[in-house]
Amino acid sequence: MVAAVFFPGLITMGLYLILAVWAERKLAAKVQWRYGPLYVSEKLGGVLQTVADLLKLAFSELVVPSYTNRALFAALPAVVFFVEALPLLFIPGGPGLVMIPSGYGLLYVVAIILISTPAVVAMAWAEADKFTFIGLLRELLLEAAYEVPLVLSLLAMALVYGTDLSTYAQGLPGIAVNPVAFFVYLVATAMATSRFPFEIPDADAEIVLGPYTEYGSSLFLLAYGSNYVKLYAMALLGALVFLGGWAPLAGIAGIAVYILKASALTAFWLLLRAVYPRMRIDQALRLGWRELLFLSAAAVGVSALWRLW
Amino acid sequence: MVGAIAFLVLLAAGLALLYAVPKLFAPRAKTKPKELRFEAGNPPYGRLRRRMVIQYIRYVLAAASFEALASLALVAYSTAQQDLVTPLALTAVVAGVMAAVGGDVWSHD
Amino acid sequence: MTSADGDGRANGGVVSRLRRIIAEGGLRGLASLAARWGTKWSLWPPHLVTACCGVEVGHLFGPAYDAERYGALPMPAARHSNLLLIEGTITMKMAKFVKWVYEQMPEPKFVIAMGACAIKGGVFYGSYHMVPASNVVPVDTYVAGCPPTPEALLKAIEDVQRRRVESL
Ligand code: SF4
Repeated sequence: MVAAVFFPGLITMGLYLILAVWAERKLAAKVQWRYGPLYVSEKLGGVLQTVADLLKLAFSELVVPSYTNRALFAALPAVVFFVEALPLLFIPGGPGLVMIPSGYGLLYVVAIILISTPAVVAMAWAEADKFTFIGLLRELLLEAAYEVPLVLSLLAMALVYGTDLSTYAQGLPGIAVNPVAFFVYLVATAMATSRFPFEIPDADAEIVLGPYTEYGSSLFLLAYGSNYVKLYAMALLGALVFLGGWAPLAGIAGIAVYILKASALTAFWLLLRAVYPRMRIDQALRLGWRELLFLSAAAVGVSALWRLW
Repeated sequence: MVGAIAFLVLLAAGLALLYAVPKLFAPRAKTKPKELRFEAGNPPYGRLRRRMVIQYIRYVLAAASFEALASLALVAYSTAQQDLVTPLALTAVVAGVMAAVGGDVWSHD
Repeated sequence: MTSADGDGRANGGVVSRLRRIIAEGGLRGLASLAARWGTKWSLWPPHLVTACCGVEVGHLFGPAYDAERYGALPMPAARHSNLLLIEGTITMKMAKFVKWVYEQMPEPKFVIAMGACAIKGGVFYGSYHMVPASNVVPVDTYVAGCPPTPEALLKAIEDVQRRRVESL
């Protein structure tokens, strides 16, 4: 119950969504010598900006156009959001603090992460305009680039620690065991959540907003927010598998440590927006199938050596 | 399990709330452009779904086949306890085939 | 419905004001308050550059003037934006698309007409092919100048926040 409502669950997820979007805008602004969102709550540095955006979107007209299948058009953003939130069921927030304890937690998480792309594609298909269609193709192609390295990097960790996620906080953190796998995970996650050099499916300078083009109001909130839910799940997974999760501590302090690690990872992914230009789709695909694939195969090799030794 | 069900129910309720709020409180004004698809400020024009970009099909094929192998490695490892041979062999297959293909394809890039 | 007069904040702190609004307007009053506050700090203009004033809009979101401080964020499409910045001249041909974009934006929405051209024609005054912005869409605020400075635009955004959004 605590897990569902408080830590990996809803409240932390909501706070994360609000803070991550704000932090992304603030970080980009800092790099560009701007202030970013400020006057909405000047003393707090504009933290309430995301709340204002949220209220604005939720209280603006819900347009469900009649040129396409209206039921699907309206329902699919919620489906995408829901699917992106599902990995949280299996990610422990502390010893015993997990919604569904399972020896195969890692497998479930990987499966759900890979399932979410078809959901996004379905959404873009239901929206049915030229920009969402291009965004859909790019989303598919980008998944083709990252999924094998992502699965292999997690396989490398599974070779050492097994697939029960709650065991990862014991012993050496994954980054020390297998730095190659960690690097591959960083890059593959940046692709999976369309962080910057790989912000290809929703490149707003090229194809409006890709799969999110047609949505306004709370549908936009759901569709675009789902990306950050995925980022949340991936940050938690990365912090647990590679940084040892709640490792040195336990209880409330352990949760704080875990959140700190996940935030550090998130900050890295968010900062990418400010410092990288966008890659072309063929560059991203080649990166995925050349450098990243061989690095991830090497990561599996490193883990095998670790096991044999 | 109670936690999981609570999580799913609360999440669904929250999402439902996001539909209810604009339905109840937002102002509404029906116009023709809102009913039509977005076309960068123009009236809709031309065909919507075009042919797919075929030059990337090799990547899609590779993903479709090797993703299965990679997941298989993960599953094989976790079901047959501590068996290192299968995952390593499958990974080697993925990397090996890509290297072999790559030697040929990338030399033309 | 509650009255949304600008000097409502003069009587009492936030809590008593909230209590008054709930007592007067119930859930609807609270919703309207939240909607007004959110909309005030989240005015998103779509990209619709009709003329040379667009360059100043570039400045508006650049490092020197940074309208993002006010919560304004340039969005690529009409579907998820709520502040139409008419950037200068509108020709008859372009007026069609201005109207289209405006009508595709979800309610509530606001319009700033920018530059002498959008007000009355500017350097093209009297031209056969020119329409003032107010003939095309309902304008909330005008910004004078040719081109108006980014400061003037910031002022206009503030004006929409203060005057128009507060009185929704
Ligand atoms: S007001 Fe001046 S700067 Fe603006 S569009 Fe007209 S001519 Fe150009």
